[in-house]
Amino acid sequence: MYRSNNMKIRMMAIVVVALVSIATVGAMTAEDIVRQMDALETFETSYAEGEIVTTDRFGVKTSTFRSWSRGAYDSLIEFTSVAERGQKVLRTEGELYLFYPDAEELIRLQGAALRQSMLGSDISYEDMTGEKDTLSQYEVKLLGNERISGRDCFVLEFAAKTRTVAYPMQKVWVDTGTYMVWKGEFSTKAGRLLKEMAVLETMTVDNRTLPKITKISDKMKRDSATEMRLTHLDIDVDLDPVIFTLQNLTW
Amino acid sequence: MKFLRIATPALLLALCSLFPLSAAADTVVDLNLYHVMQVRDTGNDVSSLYTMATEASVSFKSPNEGNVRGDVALSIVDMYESNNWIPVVQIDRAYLRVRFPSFRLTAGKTRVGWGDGMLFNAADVLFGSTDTGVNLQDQELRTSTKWLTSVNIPLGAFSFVEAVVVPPEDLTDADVGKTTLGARYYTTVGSMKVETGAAYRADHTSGNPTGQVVSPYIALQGNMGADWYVATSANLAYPEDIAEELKDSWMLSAGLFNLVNVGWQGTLSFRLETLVRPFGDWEATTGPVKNYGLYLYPEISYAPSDTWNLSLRSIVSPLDMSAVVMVGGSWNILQGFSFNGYVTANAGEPGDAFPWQSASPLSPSMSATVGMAWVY
Repeated sequence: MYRSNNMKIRMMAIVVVALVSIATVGAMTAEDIVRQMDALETFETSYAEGEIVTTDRFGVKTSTFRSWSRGAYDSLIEFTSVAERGQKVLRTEGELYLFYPDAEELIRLQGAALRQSMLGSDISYEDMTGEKDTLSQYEVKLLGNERISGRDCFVLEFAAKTRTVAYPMQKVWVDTGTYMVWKGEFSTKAGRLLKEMAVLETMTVDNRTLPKITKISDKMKRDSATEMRLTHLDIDVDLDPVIFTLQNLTW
Repeated sequence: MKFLRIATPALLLALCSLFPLSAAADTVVDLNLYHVMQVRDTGNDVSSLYTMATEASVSFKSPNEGNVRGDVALSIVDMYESNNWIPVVQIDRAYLRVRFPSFRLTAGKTRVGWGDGMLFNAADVLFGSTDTGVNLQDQELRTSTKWLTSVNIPLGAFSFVEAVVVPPEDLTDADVGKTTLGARYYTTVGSMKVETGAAYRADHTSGNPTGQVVSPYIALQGNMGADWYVATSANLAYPEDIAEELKDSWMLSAGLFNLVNVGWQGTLSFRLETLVRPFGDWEATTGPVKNYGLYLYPEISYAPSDTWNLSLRSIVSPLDMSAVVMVGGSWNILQGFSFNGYVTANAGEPGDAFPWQSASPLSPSMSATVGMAWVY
């Protein structure tokens, strides 16, 4: 009897949760989904180690890095592979600095220079350190639902509000359960596809499902793709505020 | 000559083995091998030279951990001496850096980068970024280092003050009074970077060699569609005629940089820098030392893909209508490995800043280099 009641309670709970979820999803606007998507990708703080693997017809190039982030805007990337060892990129709200240790050169990047390819990859400095306040930069429209990698996804279309963003048009597939972006298509205003992004492998950190291996294909190039692989990720860790200063950048 | 070609890499390998610290340090080797072809027109005769040249450097960097950093970088370059190329080992960098709670101390042979500018930078009052005798084939045009000690004190996330002491470089005249001192303040105001500072030295080039001179500067950097940067500096000399020295030494540098996407997958970047000496010579002169009021440095770089880069660089002297022009390209085909090829030529009349005819074997009329580079 006890066992039977327990089963009934559990079944009812599942049904209630499912109904609430459906109701919540049904009531969500495109803006709500984007807020959830940004929230998933925005950590109080984070520390990551990883590699950028670029493949073309001549072979594979690998650059390794460490990165620290705080909130939506502050991030520091330090490259650890041989050819780029010690080079750092610091992004804060509205500013981006590069440091080249051999030349003791501190460069402030603004404007179009942010669109430069980073280390010969398909990733630009903007891609790497992009701000995660999507709604301030894009108008968003919910196109419907599709299944990607076996997961139910919202399909969203973004149209840039300003000319300062890297991609005037974006189409992304956002997981309805985890709000992780499984796939993205980045296009010109005229609709010409520039880059395509797909998550190949995920990991769970602090109860969040996050991309572990992300493949970025530059559609303007033949036989070229870049994989961003995270080998280590800590989120909401204690970080010294000094990390996001020029003092640390030039250290 | 052949022996030297073989000896250079052997010397490099020997150096590597001499440094036991390499086991604990991160070792990076930058090896460049070039075929060099030069043409020299003396006015009476045209001669050519073909050889192979090596540039190799080894850097031993401490791991990026803790509060002490160090870097020793040695390079082997071919120096022209007594009608021959002699391999010479030089110290590019050798410094220790220590981080304390409220400041940072650096001591050794290194560089401090004041102001902005690829070639012309009036704010570079400690190292000097106004001469035109650079190798346009180098990725970085200003890389010279000096023995110095510096203290850097942060005043906020994006502000700091820095003080530098540079001992006399000429050991035949290394009196303590010849020490160079410098200080700068770096901050941001709105979206603009503001940097100001000064250098003090016990002599100067344009006036009384035993006088004392302070060279203040101000440098600004920002973005208005394109990235821009400007700087100005001048010498305040004592006991020289202050107004005269100020007039002779006053200079301004300015630069613009922009990058646009081109075609299917390319990027095209433009840089234009200028050096202006308002009281310099504004008419063509034929003397060996030029003090022209205006020089330009245009640079166009086209990257049709992330592995190819084609560039055109030039230093232009508009007052005598001469220029040195470099056209080249690199192909980064494998990890850290690239093929490179460059052609550099002077275009000017005898007596111009960049004459085609050359009296010195170190200044060919035209040179072409084709080679490869590997960082590992």
